[in-house]
Amino acid sequence: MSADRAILRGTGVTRRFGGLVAVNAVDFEINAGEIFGLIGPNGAGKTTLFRLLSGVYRPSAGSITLSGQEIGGRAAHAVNALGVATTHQIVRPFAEMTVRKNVLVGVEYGRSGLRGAAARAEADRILERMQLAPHAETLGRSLTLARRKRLEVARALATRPDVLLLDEVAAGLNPTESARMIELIREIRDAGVTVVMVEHVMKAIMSLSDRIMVMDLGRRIALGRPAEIANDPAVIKAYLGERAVAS
Amino acid sequence: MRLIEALVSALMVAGLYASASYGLALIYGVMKIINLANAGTMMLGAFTTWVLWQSFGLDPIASVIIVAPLGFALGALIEVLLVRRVSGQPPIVSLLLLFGVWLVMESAAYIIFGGDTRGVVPAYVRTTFDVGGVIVSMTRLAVFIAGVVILVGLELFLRRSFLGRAIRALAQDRDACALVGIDTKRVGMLAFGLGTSLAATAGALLTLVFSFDPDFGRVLQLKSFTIIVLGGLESIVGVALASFLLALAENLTVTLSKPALENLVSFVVLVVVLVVMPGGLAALLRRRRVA
Amino acid sequence: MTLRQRATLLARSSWAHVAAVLVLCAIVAVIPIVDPRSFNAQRLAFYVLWFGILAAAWNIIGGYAGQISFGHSAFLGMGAYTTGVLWFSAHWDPLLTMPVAALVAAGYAVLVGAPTLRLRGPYFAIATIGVGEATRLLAVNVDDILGIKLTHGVTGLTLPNYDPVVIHYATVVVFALTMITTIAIRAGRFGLGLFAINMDRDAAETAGVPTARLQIVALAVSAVFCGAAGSLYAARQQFLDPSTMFSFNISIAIVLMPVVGGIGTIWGPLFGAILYAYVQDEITSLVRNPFVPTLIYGVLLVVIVMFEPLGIAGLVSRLGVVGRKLILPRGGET
Repeated sequence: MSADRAILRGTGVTRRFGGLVAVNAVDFEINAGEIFGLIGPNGAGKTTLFRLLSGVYRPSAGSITLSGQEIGGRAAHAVNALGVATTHQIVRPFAEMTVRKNVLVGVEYGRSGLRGAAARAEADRILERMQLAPHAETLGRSLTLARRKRLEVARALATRPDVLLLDEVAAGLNPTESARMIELIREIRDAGVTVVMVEHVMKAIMSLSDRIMVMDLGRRIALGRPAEIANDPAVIKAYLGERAVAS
Repeated sequence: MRLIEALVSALMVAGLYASASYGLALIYGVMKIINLANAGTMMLGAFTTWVLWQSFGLDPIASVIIVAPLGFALGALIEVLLVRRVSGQPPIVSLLLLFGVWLVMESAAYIIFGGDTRGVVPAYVRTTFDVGGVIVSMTRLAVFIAGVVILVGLELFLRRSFLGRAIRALAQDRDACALVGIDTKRVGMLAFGLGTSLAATAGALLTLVFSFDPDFGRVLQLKSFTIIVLGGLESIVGVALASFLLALAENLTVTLSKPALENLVSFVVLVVVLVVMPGGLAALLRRRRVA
Repeated sequence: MTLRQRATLLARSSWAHVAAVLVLCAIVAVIPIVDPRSFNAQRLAFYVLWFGILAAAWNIIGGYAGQISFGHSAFLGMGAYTTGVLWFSAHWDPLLTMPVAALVAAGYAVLVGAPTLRLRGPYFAIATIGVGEATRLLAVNVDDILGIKLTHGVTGLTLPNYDPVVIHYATVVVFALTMITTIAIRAGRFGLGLFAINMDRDAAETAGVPTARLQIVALAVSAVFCGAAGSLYAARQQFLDPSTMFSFNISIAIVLMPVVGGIGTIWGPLFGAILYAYVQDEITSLVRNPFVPTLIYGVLLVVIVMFEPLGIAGLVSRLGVVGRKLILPRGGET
């Protein structure tokens, strides 16, 4: 991996909560245009790492750079303005806003610079792309889970990010909905957006990702192509270990 | 010598503050609701005590036996009729709702009792003691002791009894409680009743120290917020500790600058604590323990 | 086209709302011309519009951004005292002091908003109770602390006379500006951001909304109009004392009017102000007990929170004149 291909780079990224080290000196390089998967057992620190990348949390140590520019510790809206958008693991649509308005927030406060009628047209284009156009006038709170998840992606996409962080967007969906979501993610990548995704649905992440990073107890334990990851002894141990405890 | 004086006097005031704040902390802990009607309940407790004293010559401390259950009934009623019906909505909704309840309580008291300042003056009101060279009135001491008794009783109840444990469990994880079969609605009602009962009791006891009118409790309300925020919002011991710290800070402010600024202290502490250490003292202690 | 469809189309257009405000203001403005001796009507008009300014101003931060402030009397009082002091001590014309008063109130809003607006929902609300109380205490004691004659403490400031008709027009103008500002905010990008904050601050932040800045600006804009209202009050009443201008009761009224009228809606604050002025005026003279109105507001508040969160505006929409979605703060219409 040559350095200039990396769009998002983490060096020694660490986050502590009191005495707990949720993310422990993690290094990674995410290449422009790839789909980068992030997996690991519960409590591995995936969501914390996501929140560090999106600016919700401030790293306790280490640095996160986007195209060479430090973003670690910046406010979430500032990180968004630099080109990293995120979805939320527990979907958070603006409940009393229509679906179109939800997306419009992303358009008007994102990097498109569009306002007024042009912004509304852009919102409609994104709704079309995310197969939400028929529900444009529905209030956020009355959507089904699958549509809320797509709205979550649509709102993030509306800010025109270079990097899109997807936190378990396939979780809780039935196989049909899940397949549809996978298709949409692939389309987003093909349109030139780098995708970083956390996912528990193994089929989704294995089939989509170009590379996968595996975390356990806050540390990176493996990084590689899906096929390499599936056969990595450390990964198998982390997952089997967890299963052994659970049973 | 000055320091001991300040400490003793702060301790006495702390007992009073703590009594006024336990109910607020309990209700917040269990239901994540800020009971803006707390001041109104204290005022009603004070007026009930005054009526009992006027009509039957009942001593304010003895009247707790009547005021506490009445407070419980009132709280349980408010929970079932009002608060429960807005659960699940944004916190602002319950805040406005209980603000409305407070307005109703206050204005109803004004209409019924008028705006005159009242007092309850039992025979021992002028009795004083010498505590470590500091003169302390009997009534202040009584309120302080009551504050400690409530603290100990409440801690025992929350740690030992089944219901108390259910309340604590609910404060930690509502969903998990529902899963293991705790009737969260019933526990919520009991907690709100208990919290309201504590506020009414505080009102009854405070008649010994303060004269009051229907606006009684408003200044204490802000102090109570400061205290529960400083104490970590749901810790009963934290409340006691925070009461002492606030009382001490006020005492020092009055000694070192102007008495008029006493009430400013709680605001400054409130904002500083909310902004700088949102978890309050309890979170600070917890962090130390984990590390 | 049915009446309802027509009303719906009309309500979607911000220009229609602005036109309605201007018509209303024109009607109120001619009262002193039609009948110069209609002192009672002028007094009532002043209070309705004055309360309307405060309620609509509060609505920007409380209704749009969803940050309930129980301390708005601080901004009102700052404005009133700025005018009062400049008029009393420096002999400025009170109407000329109005921009200064508005700026002082806005500056104070930025000062107190910067720390408190980092707090969420109920914590912000509680902190604002503290802001209000602290400001009142400072206003009472500032002369003592600094050893100067500024607010004249509890004695208050007695001000010269001023032509009430001029104040009448000034009030109409400030009211119109307030309403047009709230309409414009609601229709634009700023309002969209505030409403997103109202719904979910974290989600708004990750969608690129600079939540901290937007909230502080919203509080400052809100304070500008409260400060101007303070100026108007000082000019009309010719007497100011801290325990009235900075009182918690006024803060309560400023919350009650928009909430009872319809929180987050365009016309709700005015509905609330009309009701408030009417109840204050009529019921108080009827029962001669100043606490009956408070009881009514308390009951109304409880009922509205329980059954009709959009208040009087919500009731109006239930009558079927305009669709319900339209009155939502910034929800339905596109």
